[in-house]
Amino acid sequence: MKNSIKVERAKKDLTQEDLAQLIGVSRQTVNSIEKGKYVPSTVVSLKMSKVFGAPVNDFMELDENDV
Amino acid sequence: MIGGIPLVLLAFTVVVMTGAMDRFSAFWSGWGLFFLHVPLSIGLFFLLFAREKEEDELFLALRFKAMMHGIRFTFVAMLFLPMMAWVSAIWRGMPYHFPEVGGNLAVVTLLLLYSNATYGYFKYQLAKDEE
Repeated sequence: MKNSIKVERAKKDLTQEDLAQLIGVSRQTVNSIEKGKYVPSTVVSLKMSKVFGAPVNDFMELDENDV
Repeated sequence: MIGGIPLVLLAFTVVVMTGAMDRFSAFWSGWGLFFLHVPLSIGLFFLLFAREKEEDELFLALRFKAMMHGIRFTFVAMLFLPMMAWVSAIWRGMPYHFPEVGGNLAVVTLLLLYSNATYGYFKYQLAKDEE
């Protein structure tokens, strides 16, 4: 799974800590998601979608390993 | 696999299961050490399931993954390694007895020990990624 959460976060001028608080997870979790080490649950993905004001597909997508 | 931790755990298991350390191998045998297995298992249980400062789905997932690794290591420890030790003993013409580890509290202790070690390793990796 590829993601551009870091970019979306930068657009909204949010730190990892800010995003973590907004979606109710720890900063370590945001960091792991951004680095592609952890695939978030649907609930967390939808919360991020709400914060970024964009559909999940805009900042998360399948890569060749997932197909 | 997760770095070098399986090698450390497997080396530990080989030492215990093949009876290279007689006194230590007794730790895993029978029900005789109930007073040791129970507090140790309870301690390891609380260590593994203790809430993190910022508990969330990541830590739940890591704990689950660690338990799965623990189960895998326990199977190796319970079945594969004693079998290898047995084959090796027969090959050398030496007597060998399987450790009486099946079906007693030592299995739970071993599972929790492996799970804790793996979970600790995952958390170490997480902290390392932060740097």
